[in-house]
Amino acid sequence: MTLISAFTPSLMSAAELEQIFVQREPLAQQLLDDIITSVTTPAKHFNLLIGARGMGKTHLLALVYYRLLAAGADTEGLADKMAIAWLREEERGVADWLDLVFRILRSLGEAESTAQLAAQQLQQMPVPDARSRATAILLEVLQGRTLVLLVENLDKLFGGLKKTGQQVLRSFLQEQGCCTILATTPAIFPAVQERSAPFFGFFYPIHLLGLTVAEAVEMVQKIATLRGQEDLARFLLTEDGRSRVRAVHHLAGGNARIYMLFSQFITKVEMDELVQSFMKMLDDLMPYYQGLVDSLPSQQQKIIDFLVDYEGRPMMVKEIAQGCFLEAGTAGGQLRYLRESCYVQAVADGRESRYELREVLMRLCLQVKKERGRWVEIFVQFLRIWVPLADRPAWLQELLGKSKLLTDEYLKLALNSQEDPVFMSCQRDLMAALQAKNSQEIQEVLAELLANQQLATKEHSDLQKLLNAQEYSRLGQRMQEIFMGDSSDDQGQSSEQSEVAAKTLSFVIRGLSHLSKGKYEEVIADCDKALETNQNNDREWHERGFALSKLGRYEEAINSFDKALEINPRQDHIWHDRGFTLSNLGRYEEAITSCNKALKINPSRYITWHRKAMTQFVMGNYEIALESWREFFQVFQAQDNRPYDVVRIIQRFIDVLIPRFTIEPVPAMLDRLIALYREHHLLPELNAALTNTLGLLLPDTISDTTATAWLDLWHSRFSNEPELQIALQFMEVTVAYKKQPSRRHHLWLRLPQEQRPILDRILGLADF
Amino acid sequence: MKVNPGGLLAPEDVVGRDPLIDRLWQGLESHGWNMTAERRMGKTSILRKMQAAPPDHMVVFCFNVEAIGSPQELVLKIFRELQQVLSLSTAWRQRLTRWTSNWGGGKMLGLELPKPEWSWKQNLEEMIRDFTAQLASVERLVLFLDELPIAIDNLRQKDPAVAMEVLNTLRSLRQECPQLRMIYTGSIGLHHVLRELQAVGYRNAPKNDLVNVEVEPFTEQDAVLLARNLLMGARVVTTDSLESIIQEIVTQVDRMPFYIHNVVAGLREMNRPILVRDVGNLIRTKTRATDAWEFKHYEERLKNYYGDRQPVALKALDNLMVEPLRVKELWQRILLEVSTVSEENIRDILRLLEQDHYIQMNEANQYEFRFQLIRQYWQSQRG
Repeated sequence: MTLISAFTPSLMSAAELEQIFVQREPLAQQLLDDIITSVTTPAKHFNLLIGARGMGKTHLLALVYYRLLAAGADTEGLADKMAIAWLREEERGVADWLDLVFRILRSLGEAESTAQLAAQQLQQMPVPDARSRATAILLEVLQGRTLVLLVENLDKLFGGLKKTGQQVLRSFLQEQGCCTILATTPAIFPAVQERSAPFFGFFYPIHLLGLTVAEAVEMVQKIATLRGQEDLARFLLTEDGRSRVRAVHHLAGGNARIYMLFSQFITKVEMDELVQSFMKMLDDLMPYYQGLVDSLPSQQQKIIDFLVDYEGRPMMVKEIAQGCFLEAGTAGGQLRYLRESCYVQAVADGRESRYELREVLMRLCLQVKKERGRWVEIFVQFLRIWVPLADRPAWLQELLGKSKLLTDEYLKLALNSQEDPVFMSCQRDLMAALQAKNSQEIQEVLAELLANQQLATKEHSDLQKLLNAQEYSRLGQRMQEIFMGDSSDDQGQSSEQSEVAAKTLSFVIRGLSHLSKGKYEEVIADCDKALETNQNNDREWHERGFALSKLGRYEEAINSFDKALEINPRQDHIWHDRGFTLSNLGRYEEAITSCNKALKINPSRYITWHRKAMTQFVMGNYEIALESWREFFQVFQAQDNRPYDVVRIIQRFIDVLIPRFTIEPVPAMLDRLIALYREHHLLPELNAALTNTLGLLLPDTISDTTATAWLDLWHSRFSNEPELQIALQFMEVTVAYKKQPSRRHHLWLRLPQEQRPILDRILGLADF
Repeated sequence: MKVNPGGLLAPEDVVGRDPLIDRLWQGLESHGWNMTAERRMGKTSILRKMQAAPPDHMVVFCFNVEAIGSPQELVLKIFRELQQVLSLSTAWRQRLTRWTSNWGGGKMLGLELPKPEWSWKQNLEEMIRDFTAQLASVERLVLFLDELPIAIDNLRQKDPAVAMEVLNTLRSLRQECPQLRMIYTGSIGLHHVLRELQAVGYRNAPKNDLVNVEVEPFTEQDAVLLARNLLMGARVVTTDSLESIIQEIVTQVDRMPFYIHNVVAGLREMNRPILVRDVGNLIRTKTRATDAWEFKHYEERLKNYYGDRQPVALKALDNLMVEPLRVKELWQRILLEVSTVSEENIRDILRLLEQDHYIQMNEANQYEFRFQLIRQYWQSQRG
């Protein structure tokens, strides 16, 4: 049976450890190489793996251990030259050199009787004799072999040995030259870092990097495969699967253990269930974190408790001291200990330091325990909505929403097709790469895609050259010529297959065109070229109109829409786009007429109800606008699935609201509108939209006074709405930042650590 | 060559030290050495290399004595090491059979001294006298006492008189036994410990028969050789020319082998082709962002060891951080801030700072920071 232990990877088999190993292969090889060099030559390496709890230290250590055993079995003479002792996390109470030698012998004794006897011999001696003879006995057991010492939590071991024990150990290592060490620690600690310490500079510190989202996905996939959950492994390749991992990433950072735990919950259920899954995971983690806190002295527990109470906002020593009824010196001392043992971390705030819990999940768990789980739920809810939104760039949304060739239905059809798995797999990767705008990955996926298309050598070479030159626009054209130039070539395929292939390629080509410079001009040129041969193509006129509208060429856009509607007047989305363009020209009455036409054809088109409401709002017809919004909410509510684009729709409204929110009676109307959001359970989406539009407050065209008034509006009217709290928190910091951009660092510290990078991303700032 | 920052090097991998090692061997014909160096400068590697290939007429014993808590432990340690080395060296064992039989015949010792009825001092004296008496006049018994200042300081903290007696005994043994040589090594200067002992009445000069020698950074040529070998051994791929990257490393870390190993290991971890600017970025991260090499120690050491001299020592370094200065120039500048300081005070403090490797005198008789790495740190923290 497969055992995947998130807390004790040393219990897992070598094969299982290998199967779920990601990211650190070069490092594992290097560590193994260092040990083998130490065993076979007089050189001795001392490596120290540094990473917070759950970062995969023990996994790596265990993996190196098993590989070393395998190398010993495969390489003649190697096993005879080494003795491996593994001091595991559970080794406690090592107070001096004698204790350490005994533990080493006991560990060696698991594999060899001589060491076992030596350990017994030591135990039976009077303590002073044992202390005096420990080194000699260890050397006798080693018999010229190199001791490979694997130590988990070297910080604790050194803490127990104290300086005297460390000095004896260093003497032993230097004088005997017969030992190599691979150790772990959650953080660098004074006994190896201070110049006055015996082990200064002795160990080479290797800081383990957290998993990136891609690596986390890879690991969860590997775990799924190991558990035989192939459907889950496939699901992780989808946009929803990745978004789910990305949402967790905002909370877990690169902590491997969290993904191991989360892999149990990240099933192929709807994204809406993420919150429950996450809360379940926190519940499972609770005893672990609670145990960690319980093991601390009471003053330190009090400090942790205090930091949890402040919901992640880093606090200064004097605040902590006051809040915990401690002297400042005492609080400082306890914080130093908590810092060294990785419970808290310090962040600089000017010349002062502030302290916060190091692990976000520890804080969230403890918050939930203190019956503040509602806040955690709201934040996870926010991530559920915001992450996919941030993941999917606006241009792709438009592409998906607008192009006739690329409706969601088409895309789903293409994605679900099982006809050509390689092609489909490439396409999925391509979509991910396009979303990430990762040109290197786009290159790789396209290269793979081309390699699988059974093209003539000449064609392949043409495409490859364009690909290498990153000439995406020309590449798209050439692909279109090759693959779609003549539909009569599709005789061998069923009509459905050929439609899927055509749509897929169209998607690729459109994606490429959007990557290239001047994308809308190219779309227009494409359409013009198509229209030269066939003027009666409403789809091309519509695409052309949309691109013109995007470029601000509204009059021309309307002409194009009109041409499309002459050909096919039953296209509601063209009427909608026409309405949007007219309202951009300030021709509101005509815009409303266009919206009405669209709604007459398709009354369930919620986005048009929203467009109509916004136009009426801009015209100052607030009561009528509210009526349209009521329609919008009703139609929206009737949708089977909650459409992903609702946040963007709300954002558009915020965009028109900001210049008008002080006009009477807008604030009062807003109360009624928000009541509709509440009634229709759309406050989480409003929360995300308000957050995502904070960047609109930053330009100079919005005065500090207006920004402050915007904050006051939401604070005064909606501060008791728990589901808007995230947005209000971000808004407060953003408005303060607008007034004093030089104080960014200080202002960001009003937020818990997991929220700081989110605000960076929303405001388009470099990392905090 | 394999990169190994902080670890024990194989003797053949200890490069760039042969001229110093030759000088040490030559010196040992006539005198002992007091070898000093900053931490991680490579003292232990030098000792290990010497121990691995001594001249035929020298029998060498190497002790790391930093964990010594009493003179008895020191004697036991020396005794065991003599026994062990002799058991491994057939030639010396055969030469010294009388000593072996006089001193226990190779039996495993418990807690007691080899001759329990004698004091530690008598044991040590007799053991060494007996050993050297069996050597030919041209032969040498060489004891490397690594980290002796730490051991003496440990003893001093328990009982200064015992620390004094150990120093005196070692000194008198060297005088008494013409074939005995010692090399004291230590990263904290013995002068600091002696000053503490002098403060409680110690008047002897227990190392005045030893010649001071300092382990310097590598020569440019050796540093370049080491950096090249390590980069090639680590298979580091470079975008900028290999030579330019080597030069950058060597310059930025003042040709110190420990840091060369560390920088190459850091570049290897990047897992991508390396640019010249990566070297500077890596070092900046290690010195400024994380202080991974704990240069703040240089600030704190002034607090711990310089007593009331600390404020002026700080001012001196703050000024030298900007530019090299002659003594008088420096004194004039410090006078602007501390009016009571005399030129002699300044000279005294500069001597101390020089002994502690902060500064050195250049060819123009100006004092300057000894290491760029420390100067850079000083600038980032106090500039």
